[in-house]
Order: sequence, then structure tokens, then C-alpha cells
Amino acid sequence: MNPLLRVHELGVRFHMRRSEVVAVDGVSFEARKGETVGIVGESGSGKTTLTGAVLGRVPISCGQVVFRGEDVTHATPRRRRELTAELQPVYQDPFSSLNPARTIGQTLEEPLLVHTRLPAGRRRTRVEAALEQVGLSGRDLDRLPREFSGGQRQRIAIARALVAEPSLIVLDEAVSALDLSVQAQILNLLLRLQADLGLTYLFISHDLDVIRHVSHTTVVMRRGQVVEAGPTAEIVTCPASEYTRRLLDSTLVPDPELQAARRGRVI
Amino acid sequence: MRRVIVKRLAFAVPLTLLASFLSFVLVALSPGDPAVTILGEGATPEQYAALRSQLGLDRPLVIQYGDWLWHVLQGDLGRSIITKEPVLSGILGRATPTMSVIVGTTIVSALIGVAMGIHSGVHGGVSGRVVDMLSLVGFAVPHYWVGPALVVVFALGMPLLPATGYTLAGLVLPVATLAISGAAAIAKQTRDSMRATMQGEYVRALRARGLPERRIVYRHALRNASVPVVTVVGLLVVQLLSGTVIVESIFAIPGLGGLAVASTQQHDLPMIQGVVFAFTMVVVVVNLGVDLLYLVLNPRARVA
Amino acid sequence: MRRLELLIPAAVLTLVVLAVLFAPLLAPHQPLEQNLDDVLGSPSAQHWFGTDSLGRDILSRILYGGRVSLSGAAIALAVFVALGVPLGLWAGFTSGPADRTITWLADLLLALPTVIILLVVLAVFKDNEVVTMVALGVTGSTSMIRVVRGATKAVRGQVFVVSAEGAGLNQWHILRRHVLPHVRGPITVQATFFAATAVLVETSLGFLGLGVQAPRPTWGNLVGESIQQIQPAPWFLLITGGVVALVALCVGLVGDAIRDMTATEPDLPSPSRPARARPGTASTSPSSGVLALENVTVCHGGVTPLVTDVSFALRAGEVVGLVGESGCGKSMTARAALGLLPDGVELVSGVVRVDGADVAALSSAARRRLLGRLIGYVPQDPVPSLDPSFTVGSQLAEVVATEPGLSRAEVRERCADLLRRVRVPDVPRVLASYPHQISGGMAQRVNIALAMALRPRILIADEPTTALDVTVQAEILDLLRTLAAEQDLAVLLVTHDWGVVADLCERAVVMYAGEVVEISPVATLFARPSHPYTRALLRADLRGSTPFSQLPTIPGVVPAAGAWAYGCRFADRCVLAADECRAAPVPLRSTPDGVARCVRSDELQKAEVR
Repeated sequence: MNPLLRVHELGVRFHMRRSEVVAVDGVSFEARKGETVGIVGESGSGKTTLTGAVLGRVPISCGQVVFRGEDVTHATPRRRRELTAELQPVYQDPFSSLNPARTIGQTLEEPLLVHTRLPAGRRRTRVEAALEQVGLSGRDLDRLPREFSGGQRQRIAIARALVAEPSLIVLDEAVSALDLSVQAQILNLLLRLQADLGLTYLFISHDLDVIRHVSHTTVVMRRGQVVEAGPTAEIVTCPASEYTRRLLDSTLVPDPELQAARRGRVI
Repeated sequence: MRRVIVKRLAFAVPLTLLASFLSFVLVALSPGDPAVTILGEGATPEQYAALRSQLGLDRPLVIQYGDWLWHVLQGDLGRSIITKEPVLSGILGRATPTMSVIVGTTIVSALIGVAMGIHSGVHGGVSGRVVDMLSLVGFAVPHYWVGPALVVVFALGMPLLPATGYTLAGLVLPVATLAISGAAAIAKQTRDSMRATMQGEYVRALRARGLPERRIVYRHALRNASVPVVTVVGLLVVQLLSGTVIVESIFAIPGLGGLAVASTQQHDLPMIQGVVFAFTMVVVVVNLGVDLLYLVLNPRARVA
Repeated sequence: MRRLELLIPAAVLTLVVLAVLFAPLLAPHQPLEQNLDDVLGSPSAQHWFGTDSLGRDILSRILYGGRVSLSGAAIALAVFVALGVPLGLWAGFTSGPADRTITWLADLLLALPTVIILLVVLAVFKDNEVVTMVALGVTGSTSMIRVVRGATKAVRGQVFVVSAEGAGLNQWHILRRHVLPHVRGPITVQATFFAATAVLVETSLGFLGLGVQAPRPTWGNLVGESIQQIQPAPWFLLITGGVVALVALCVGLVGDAIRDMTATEPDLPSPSRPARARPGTASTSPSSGVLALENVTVCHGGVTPLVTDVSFALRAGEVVGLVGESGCGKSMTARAALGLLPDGVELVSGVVRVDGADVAALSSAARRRLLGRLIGYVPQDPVPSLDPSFTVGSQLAEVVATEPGLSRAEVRERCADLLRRVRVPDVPRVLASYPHQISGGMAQRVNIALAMALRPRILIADEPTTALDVTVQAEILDLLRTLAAEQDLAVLLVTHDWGVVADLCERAVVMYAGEVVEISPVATLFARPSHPYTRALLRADLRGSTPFSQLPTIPGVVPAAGAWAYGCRFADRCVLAADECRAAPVPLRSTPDGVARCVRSDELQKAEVR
């Protein structure tokens, strides 16, 4: 079966004054329908630039992005806009990703105004359905973002991504700013949505533990390059690279005895 | 760091050129004909044409400008149409009083404004409201009203200070007139800036290290709050170039402002051109000074 | 209150504008009607504002004069808005050459003194009022351009705009729906302030005898005339100047009111100060540990409790974790322990003891000496916690030099030594660096060195590794562990991460909804938690979970400060909750090796076994 998304030898370079910064260098991976690709890396690894390139927000210097067999590396602005219905992002900060002055209903309706010609009544039905999918109710439509908690706002951000009925959702540190118990709720929601709707996720995180929980395949990035990539289970049990091993060793285990035993290996 | 300075200097050159070109073009486009101004209404068309050719006015505008600029570079700003005096000596002869007013006002405004701003930024409360009110009043009350009011009270009511003339005592009232609004503007900026800075995480960290509050305020917070304040002081100097026109008229100070107004009333274009050029140079120097101060105050600016 | 601040000046303005507009109907006399028998007459029933040197009615002249001055200002304002708003939006919305050109031109224009430019225009166009006011609008528009551009850029950088773009909305839609509503406020504010400036500049020119010429009245030339008569008729100046000042003041007040109303950010709270000293005598209580909190309650604004009845103590050399989710009061507790509560937040009751002494009873100078010398503080965000204007070396030296009797060379050596102790690899380079030149991990080492500079016995670390990469986090945790062991430090570590607790802490204080719910040694805590919240939060941790499995969660959210239940504050979210939990506040009860605030601890232990 063809992968839904194929990224091939992707490179992104930024031109600074007199110098050139290679933010992403020769990155390749594939995302199959209904599966999750986890991209893990520390700050400066280029993972955010990579998602920008996939979403068409960052100009690509070389390589290819192929979506459903179509080369969208240099898609026209018009085609790009059509594609946004298929490729939806969810960002880290649930407090700044919603316009504080607009109601939830207005925010969720926007993608439908752009991508469809549905009448107002049908739009409302779609929006209500999306809210219910994320565990909120249609009654919340006329409320403003400030009336919701961080976890609820992240649910709303996910609902906004769902309204357009995308096939791929890019989750950029989508659970990183959340408290532990809320993080668990959102991860549960994402996993359930994937099972129910057959969604494909590109899951970007600095947290290897989160990636391990949700990803079928994992790409480890460092300084713009892929350190290693493969099935998640393999990468977390027997990493091929020194860097991945160091990442794994640096993660903490919520168990004092186990952690004390591991500590000896961390330099 | 040297690159930043070069960049700033590179901004000053087009600024000077643009200002001089604007004033030159405006003057050239003006409906009046210098030949008519000089010869009067009664001359023959041939006489006018001869004079225009003699003055170089029959050439294309850009050539005329280039010619003017070339002379300016050699220190020759032309001659007044009215008094026939060289523009440069007219300007230099009147520069000192104007500069005294501007420098005096800047120093007084900065001292009072920064002191008030720090107090209200750190302590808030009543002094915060006082700064708010003062800045609004300083903004709204025109200089041409404050000046005469000060004259009525301090020169006519109780004759403490001279109402007019360019002496040291004579500078007190003009400077006070301008410094009320100047100090208010600086106080407001200092207050806002200090208040934001005192919220900073490093201020909390400094307190947690047990450093004396006064040291935190004056050494750390003030230094970091100073960049926007310096900007406002720089803008104030530019505004004072306008303000001095008013106070020189009120207090009969023989300065550049008075010269500008008189030349405007008499349509003495070369003289106005010269004054504009002189004022632009002041602005260029002030901006350059402000930019250099940024570099001293803010280490992050040094790498840009 | 807010409404009145807008309504009163707006009403005054409207009155003035209407009076000026209907001058022909309202004016008691013709503006040019002379009466040489009644020159410089004082205000009277016939001439409310008196008469001028030619016996003309001043009130009528002001009403007619306003027509020139206000319409001039209106022209300038129209140009200001028409030029400034579109250019500002364009520059702010599109980055690149258009933005650079517009900004450059605006900077150039801003550098020219306005009145001088206007003098040139007046000289060239022979006192043409309209051209002059258009020129004023053009030169002034730079401030509008800058403000609109800045506001637009700020909105454009917001994640919600980026999200809207991600949703495929076109530029026009984003401009109209997302950007304009947010820049409308700054635009209105700028326009009002410029309106006042325009009136002031227009009248200044008139005052200088430029622009519209006498005998036709303008507010400016009326002031000019009144100054000539300042000695015989001072009220003349008072009235003419006063009208202009009143208009400018009212416009300014309207602008201020609009700014206050449209400000999107809440007003900054006033700066925080060390907690206020309460009267009392310093007392010492033995054996309570080097740092002890006894029944500490912290309130905001004197009414809303943020932290209630918190008690725990740290022994020398002990690392204690203060754990909980956001909104549980753990950071506020740490700041109470430091004595650095934000403004408006106060220690309402309870005692903080450092080395046995009641901190609140000390003088503020004595309290300050505790900080640094007895208590060190490691912040959450390493780089912003360093003063950006000073090098690392000078910030270290500042603290080190508070110890008396050190020579410069000794101070320098002590600073280098401190950095070596926190395992900074390239000490001379880091000493000479500014905070923005070093990495987050390096900055956190510097913060630790600063906290350790005066060899304190207590270290309070607020989420010290949350902002760092995992590999760096491991190094910093190792460093803290070594320092604590080597120097017998008591460490209070605020964290939300069970992994950090497991790695570093001996005991943990778990907080929920502003109160302590459990204190246990970590081995017990992880194996047999005594409070249902501790257990639920441990289970929500995905580390150790089966991949792709649904994680156990806690229903609902942490209640907001002050909205806490009367009985057990966790009862609404607790699987074990029963009627007895909600009946009354639950006290802390002893457990085999700690305390827990749960009436059903026994049930919990049984459930754990099952």
C-alpha cells in the first residue's frame, strides 16, 4: 500500500546575513494511513521546521513531500489552500492558539467557510459533531476561549482540526504544555480518534516517553538530521545510535529504585 | 559592534539628503519667482531671464540640487534674498541661543522626568496617578499658553526673572515652559518601563539573592529600563526643535526659531533651506547619539 | 467609572464642536464687528468673554475662529488616518521589501522636526492652510504607521492567526476577522492623540502669525493677539489659550479612556515586594528543621485563599519534592518560604522559620540577609532570570562581593571557583559572556552558582529543569544531587514531574487545591500512596504504560482558587469518595511513615492490594 505521506531527502535552508543555516538536512520518512509517525528531538533538532515544511509554511530547499501520491513540494498557493483541509495542525499552547475575541463556534466554523459551501445550519451541525467527538458539547459553541481550562482548549483546538475532516493531523508538541492528568486525557482522546476515524498523525515531541506511547514508527532527529528511524518498539528497546541511547538514558522513570539503578549509566 | 555603527551612519546620509532634497524641491516648486522678488515687478522679461540664467534657475532641478549640494559641502549655503547676508553666518550667529534652550530643556526634563518615573514605577500608588495627570496636562496645554502664564506670574507679578532676552536668567522661563511637557513625557515612559522591568524574572532572582532593593532598582532595573527612555529623550530633542520656535517668539530670544519664522513670513527661501538643513543635521547627530547609547546600554544590540 | 472617564470629555468636546459648527447661529456678534468705544472690555453680560483691542466680541471670534482651527485639524487627521492605517497594515502584514521600505521611510520622516517642515510648506505655498494641514497629516502619519505595523505584526505572530492560516483561510479573511479587531484599539488611540496634536500645531502656527491671516479669526491668531494685550487684559489670554487647552485635554482624556477600554492585556500588577513584616518577636523553636513552614496560609487580596494551612519541614541535607499540578499552590508555597510573595498576595497566618527564627518577625534588612546567605533560589527559566545587561562574571561578583573583606582578585577567583563547582567547562569564556550568549543549560548552572555563592544551607528550586532538554536535565539533576550531598544542603524542589521526584528526592509533599494532601518518603509514596490524588496522579503518568493503551485519568479539572469544597477538596474527582468525605474538612492524619489528608486511607490501601 502507498503511504499517505512520504517525505524524501527533505532539506530546508535559511539564508541569514552572509551565512546559511541548514535547519533540516536530508530527512526521509513515510507515514501510512491510520498510523502515527513520532518525531523526537531536543531543541535545535529542526523538528518544528520540518513540520512547517510539511504544512507548506516553510519554503523547501530540496527534496520532496509527497501526499497521496501527489508531489506537493512546490504546490501552488491555490492547491496549498485546498490541501489544508487534508493536513491540519494542532499546536502546543492551548492558551494562545485560539483567538480570545471569537466564540468557539466562530473559530470552529472558519475551516468550513473556506473549504466548503455548506449553509449555516449544516455548518453548525458539523461543528457540534466535532465538539462532541472531543468530549465537549454543542452548548459550548457560544462561549469564549477564556471560559475553558487548558485541557478543554486543547480539545477545542483538536476539534478545529477535525472539522475540516482531514486525513493527516500534525501534532506539534500538542501535549507538552499540559499537566500530567490532562496530558493523559488528551492522549487518550487522540488515540481513540485515530482508532475511530482512521487518522494519520505526525506527532512531534521532545518527550521520548510520549512518542513511545503513541507512535508506530519513530524518527529521532538531531541538528536537522535523522539520527535513526524505524519501528518504535525497536528504537526504544535496542537503539542503534549512541545519541538515541543517551536520550533514552536521560529520561526519568517514576520509580525511585529503578531510577537509582539507571542513574549510574547517565553521565 | 563596528558594523552596527557603520549601519547607523549609513542611515544618516540618506536622511540628510532626503531632508535637503525635500526642502529644495519644495522651494523650487514654489509659485514665487526669485527673479521677481529681487528685481521687483517693473523689470523687462529680458532682465528676468538674464537674472534667472545668472542664478542658474533655468537648469533642470536635479542639476540645481547637485549644484546646491556641492556648495553646501564647501560650506556655502547661499545668501538671503532679503538681507543678502550669507545663510551660513546668519545661522551660526543664531545657533547658540537655540542650542542653549534645547540642551537646557533636555537636561532639566530628563533629570526631573527620570526621577519622577523611577519613584512612581517602583512605588506606584499616588505618584503613579500624579505622573498620569502630569503627562496628560503636559501634552494638552500648549507652550504658547504656559510661557505667557509663567511671564505673568514670575516676571510681571513678582519680578524675579526677566521676561525676555538671551541671558542665563532669561533662559529659566523658556526652559521651564518646554520642560513641563518634556519631563512629563519622560516620566511616563520611565514609569511604564520601570514597572515592566521590576516584574522581570531576574529581578525576582536578584531579590532572592538578598541584594539591597536600592541596588536592584538603580543598578539593574534602571539600566534595563533605560532603552525606551533614551528613545523618548531623543524624540524630545526633535520635538524641541519645533518647540523652540514658539518660545523664542514668546520670550524674544534671538535664535534659529525666530529666524525660521521671520524667513517664512518674508518668503526668504534660501534662508529657510539653510535652517531646515541645520535642524536636520541636529536630528542626525541626536539619532546617532541615541543609537550609540543603545549599544552601550544593551549588550544584545551589539551583535545585530 | 470607566464610562464617565469617556463620557464627560466626549460631551465637552461635542459641545465645543457643535458651538463652532453653528457659530453663525450662536455667536452674539459678527466676528469682525468693531466697537472702538469698548476696547479690551472685561467679561460682561453683553460680552461674556470681553472684547479685544478693537472692541470686537471675543466669544464670537472664538466661535468663528474654531471653524478654521478645527477644520484644519480635521484635514490633518483625515490624511493621518488615510495614509497611516493602510500603510501600517501593509507593512505589518507582509514582511519583506514593502515592509522594509515603508519602515525606512517612516523612520526618515520621524526624524524631521514637524514645525520646521510646516514652515517650509507655509513659505512655499504662501500661508495655504489646506496644504499645510495635509503636510502635517503626512509627517504625523509615521507614528500611526509604526503603531499599526507593530500591532499587526504582534497579532500576526499569535498562534491563533498561524492556526487560522493553517486552516487555509486567505489573507483578506485573516486581516478582516483576526487582525483588524485587534488593531482597532491602537488605531483609535493614535487618531485621538493626533487630533489633539493637530489642534495644538494648527494653533501654534496661527500664534506665530502664519497660516490664515488676521483679521479673520483663528484660535491661533487670537492667542497671538491676546499676548500683545497680556498686561491690560490677562483674561483674554486665559480664555483663548484655555479653549485650546480644554479641547486638547478632552481629546487626550478620550484617548486615554479608549486605551484603557481596549487594552487587551490586563493591567500589570504592581511590582512585587518582600512580604510585609508583621509585629512580633523573633522566637526560636528547637529541632524543627533548617526550614519549616507552620500552618502557612497565603491569600490574594486578603480574601481569596491560594494556599491554606501548609506545614512541613526540611532537615539539613534532605531533598524534599513539592509536587502537584498547576493551580495546586506549590509555587506560591515556595515563594512564601522565600518571603518573596507577589504584590497583593500575603502571608495571612502561620509561620515560616529559617534556622528556627520566625522570618516575619525580622526586620526587612535582616530578612534580606537571610536570602543568599541562608536560602538560595534556583529559578525555572534560566536565561530570563539573569540580568541581560551584565556579564555572568559581574553578576557573580556582585553577590560574592557582599561578603566583606575580599580583594578584587579574591572575588574574581571565587567567581571562577563557583563556576568550576557547577561543572562549567570553559570558565573564562562563560564569565565574560552575557546571558544571551550562553545556552539554557549553561545559564541554569550559572543560576545555581549564584544561589550557592554565599554558601546557603537551604536551596529552593522552582521547577529547575522544566525548561531544559532531557539530556541537560539529567546533568542538572546530577549536579543538584552532588551539591546537596557535599554541602549538607536542605533542598526544596518544586516539580510536577514524578520522574524528578523519583530521581532526586527523599521525601515528597503532595499538594492539591492549595493544601498538603500527603507527605511520605518517596519509596512509600510510589509503592503505597496514602492519598487517592497521589495514586491517581501516579497512574496518569504514561511512563511504564503499555503503548497505545488508554491511560487511567482523573475526571474533571483542578478547582480554581477559592472554589474549593467544604469537605475533602478532591472528593468530586475521587473514585473512593463517600458521604463522610464531603461532611467536614479533612485533617491530616498520620500514616505509618508520614501524613495524609484522607478519611478513607484504609480503603485505598485495600484497593491498592487488590
